[in-house]
Amino acid sequence: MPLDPEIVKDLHRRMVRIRFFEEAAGRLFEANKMPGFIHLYVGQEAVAAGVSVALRDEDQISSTHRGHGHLVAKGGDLNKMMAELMGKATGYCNGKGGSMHICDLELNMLGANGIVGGGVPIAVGAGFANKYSGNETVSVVFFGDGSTNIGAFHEAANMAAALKLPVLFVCENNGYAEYTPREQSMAIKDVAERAGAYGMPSKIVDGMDAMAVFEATESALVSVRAGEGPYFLECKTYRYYNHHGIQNLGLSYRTDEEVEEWKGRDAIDAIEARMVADGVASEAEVEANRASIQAEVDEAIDFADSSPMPDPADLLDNVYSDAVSSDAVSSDAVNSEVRS
Amino acid sequence: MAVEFAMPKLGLTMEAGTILEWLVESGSEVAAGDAVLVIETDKVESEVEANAAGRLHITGEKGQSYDCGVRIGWFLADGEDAPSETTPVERSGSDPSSNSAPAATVTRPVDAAPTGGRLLASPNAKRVAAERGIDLQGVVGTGPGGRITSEDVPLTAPVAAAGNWPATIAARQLAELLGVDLASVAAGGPEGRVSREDVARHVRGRLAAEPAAAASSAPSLLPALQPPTEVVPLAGMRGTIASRMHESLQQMAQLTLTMDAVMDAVIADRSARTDKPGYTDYVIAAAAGALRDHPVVNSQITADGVALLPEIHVGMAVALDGGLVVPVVTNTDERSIEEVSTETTRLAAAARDGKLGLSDLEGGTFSVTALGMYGVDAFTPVINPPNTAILGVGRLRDEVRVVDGDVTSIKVLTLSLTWDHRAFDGAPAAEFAASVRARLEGWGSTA
Amino acid sequence: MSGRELSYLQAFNEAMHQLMAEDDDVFVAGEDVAGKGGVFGSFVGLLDEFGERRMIDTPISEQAIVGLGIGAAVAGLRPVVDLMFMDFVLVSMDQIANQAAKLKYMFGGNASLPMTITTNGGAGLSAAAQHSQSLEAMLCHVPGLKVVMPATPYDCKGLMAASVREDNPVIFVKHKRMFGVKGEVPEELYEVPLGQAAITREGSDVTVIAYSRMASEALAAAATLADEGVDCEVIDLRTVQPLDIETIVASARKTNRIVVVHEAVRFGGLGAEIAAQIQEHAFDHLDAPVARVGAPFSPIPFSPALETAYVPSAERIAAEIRATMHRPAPGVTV
Repeated sequence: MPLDPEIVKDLHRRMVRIRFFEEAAGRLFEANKMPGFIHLYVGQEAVAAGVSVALRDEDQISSTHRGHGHLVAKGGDLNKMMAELMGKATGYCNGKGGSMHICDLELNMLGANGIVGGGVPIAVGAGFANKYSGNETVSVVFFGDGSTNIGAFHEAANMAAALKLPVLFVCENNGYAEYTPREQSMAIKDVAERAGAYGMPSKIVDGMDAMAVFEATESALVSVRAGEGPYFLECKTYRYYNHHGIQNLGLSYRTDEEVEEWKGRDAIDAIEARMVADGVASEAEVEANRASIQAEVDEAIDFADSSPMPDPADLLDNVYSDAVSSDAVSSDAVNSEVRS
Repeated sequence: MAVEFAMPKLGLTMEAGTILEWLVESGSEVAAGDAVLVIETDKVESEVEANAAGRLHITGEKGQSYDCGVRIGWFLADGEDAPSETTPVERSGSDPSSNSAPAATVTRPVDAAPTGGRLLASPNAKRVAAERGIDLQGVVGTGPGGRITSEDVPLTAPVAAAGNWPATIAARQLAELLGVDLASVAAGGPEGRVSREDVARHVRGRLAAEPAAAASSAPSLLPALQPPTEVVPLAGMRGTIASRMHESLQQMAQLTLTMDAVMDAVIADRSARTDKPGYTDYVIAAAAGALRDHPVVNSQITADGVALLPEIHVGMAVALDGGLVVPVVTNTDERSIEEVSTETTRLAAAARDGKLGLSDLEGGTFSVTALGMYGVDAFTPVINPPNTAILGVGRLRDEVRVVDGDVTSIKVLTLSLTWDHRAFDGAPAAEFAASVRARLEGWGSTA
Repeated sequence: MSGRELSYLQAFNEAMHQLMAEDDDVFVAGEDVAGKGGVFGSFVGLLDEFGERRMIDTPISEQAIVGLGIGAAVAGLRPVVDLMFMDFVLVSMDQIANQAAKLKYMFGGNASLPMTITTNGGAGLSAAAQHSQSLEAMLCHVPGLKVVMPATPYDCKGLMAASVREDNPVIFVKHKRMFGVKGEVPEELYEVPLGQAAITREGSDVTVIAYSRMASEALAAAATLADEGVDCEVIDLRTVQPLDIETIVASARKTNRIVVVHEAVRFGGLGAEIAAQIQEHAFDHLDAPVARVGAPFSPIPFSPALETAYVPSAERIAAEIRATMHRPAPGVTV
């Protein structure tokens, strides 16, 4: 079934946006311009793009420690993202969160999460709020194969199914839990098998094919929006770089051949070839799109580079919504005593 | 009010003492600390001091032994009679409520006041005593182990003026966290008290005033390890040097190579002249010539890349009291050694007299700095931004070399070239240094 | 005042009725909160009044229960999620400490989390080691959480109102042995502000600082000591995070002697924090070391004989006050 050319272009644009942003972020990390951790999404772009193109603006997404791609796909502001990764005051979280804690509530992106599986119960809570409000909004939660080995995932999956909540579970099975291959951490091949245990319908899809992910998401959303409860989508995908950073520092947990084989199925290469073949866009148009996205990423780097660092005087802001601290005394009464 | 005078416990193992002699008569006025009697314990004889002031009323008899803590007298106020043996003792500052309590249930234990070692007093008692200028040595403690509590301190003297800095505790904590001197913070709070917001505002203002420092997120500095004898503020020339040199090392990829140059040809040339140039002048002249042949060294990194600069202006570092300046010999490559020497002499004198013009200090494209006069051979000069290289000049020294089996003495000087690896690599840097060396070693033959 | 009396639990229940009536964003989720009305009856009658949409019985999944509250709060609701026993806080600690407490800060202030976690703490019912604990010190150690521990029916209602209307995650800890305690409670909904201690007895000789059930034990001890001529000031903290250090320090400067009391294990308990802050802010006003009364360093025993020995009481508090005042027990002569 031929897809709408506009959707194909949208998928392509979102994937390239993720790829270029992540490549730039990785290089900046290696240039020591990014403090802390950086978990790159390169290779898995088809999942974030395929799912997000199928979503409505009001649908929420919850993300993971490998979360840049999800926010970029949802329309995240690259300037604020890059600035946050560099710990700048102009970042999404004013430099308080960093790579693993970016959120954009205006885009209904409820936050990345540094705890594997920690975001799943929260996404189920957002799904509850949707049902409570009686709207058709769906809460989408991205998580890796590794987080399905965590108790919180199972509690949340069971609760979502038991309470029939509008939640789309999107498992990005990239075959590795950090550096441990899937077959060493679970005795099943398909994570989707776990959905059945909670009475949740599921589907396995090629996570290197953005159009396949888009179509599977669209059809899953029909039943979720209809109030039939959660749905589980397992996307088989691959992480080109390591768990953390870019370079393979003498790690031997996977072979070069394996990496090359997956790169041979690159989702961006595939969609570009198809766009040209199907006459959706000329090679020149594809190239122009890429160039304009690269310019956007370059601008984000400039913006982040030239942004100020946060003010240490703001260190204690936003611990609470009000300015309270148990580690300080401020009342006039006590302090007038201090002086007397 | 009558204060009890008890047989003191003068040592860990002392249980009782025998009165050998009263040094004052009953009814005499004594001050706290006056020696009033001599006692004998199982070990020693010892004088005992009055632990309060007043008219001493003696009850302990000479030759008698008393357990530690047992009363041997009273200190009485003016016109006061000694309490009868059955009247309960009232101590100054004691809680009035304890008097209204049933006498049968409440008796405050009175431990012996310590008379040796550390004075046991609660922080509150010390504060109250200090505010009133009272010496706690004369106060009998009624707390555990004889600890003096605030109730034991006679509250007769007025409170001295308070000396606390007017700031909220929250403000103090934030100031401590951020290393801010509260004295420098303007108070905006009620009654002129510094609030947490005042500290935050102060820090923001300070950061805004020093944008460069804020952006570089400089590491916080540790306090001085010892009380310094003097603190040289990082301001003025010192401040400029500090920030420029720090910035230089932070922003560039600097590294240094050294190369020896035989100076015999230069020495020969110099000895033939009447107005003798300095050795550094020769190096400046040689460097200027070499820069002409190695344009990448006469460069600057700009937003567009490595900019090769057509004009050659070599700066020379001149040490001053408390700092240094780098005046510039303009168009150095077009000057003869005499002209270089004349100009460096003028610039050095002007620098020391503080008469350098702005034009003397601007536009340097390369620098030469000498430490040879201090006995230094090689060092790692720091590039003067926005240059991409600097040449250090070492000591002129004797070396022996074997040439064709003969041992000869030669004069050698070490050149230390620091360059910015972003602008050019090691090979061109070495080639440039070799070019300087060749000019020095062949002085007079080609130049 | 009307003089109308309610029990601690009735006061809580009335607060819930009124809070749910005033705001449709308020709902309750937890184990047996709807059909059963809560295992202790905290939520009785709410299902009938507000229906299944707003009263949700959940699976026994504490992580998912708290996560449900977090997600719903971030999405705009004002959840009340219930953990049957305070001990179960430990089962859901990732969601409480790593997620709820930190979201606002990590997101640069872009999220607010108006969630109240209700739970039941405290010993005295022979519920043994996994259903009796007082774990507030752990919670207070995590910046971003507020921890409320009412000691009276009046405060139970007023603090619950303030907690639910609060835009930060609050853990509201009822004490299981206080449920039946009666006191005056106004009919209308009112707030007792978080972070404000109450001076429940004014005195001049020594300050006893307590919260939750120990606040009433402290008052009993103070009454005993009054007969012995010691005038105790009693502070009920009501909220332990944020801690009302101002009131504590002001009282320490006034009475110069402090006894801190909690039911939790003494070692590493809030008493340690309070004592530390007092010596920081009122060192020169102390006439005695700050004393602490708390549970011994052991799990909570089951047998009533052992549990009675374990849990601090008015008698133990009175003994500690006497020691701090350097006074003998009644009838003991020196």
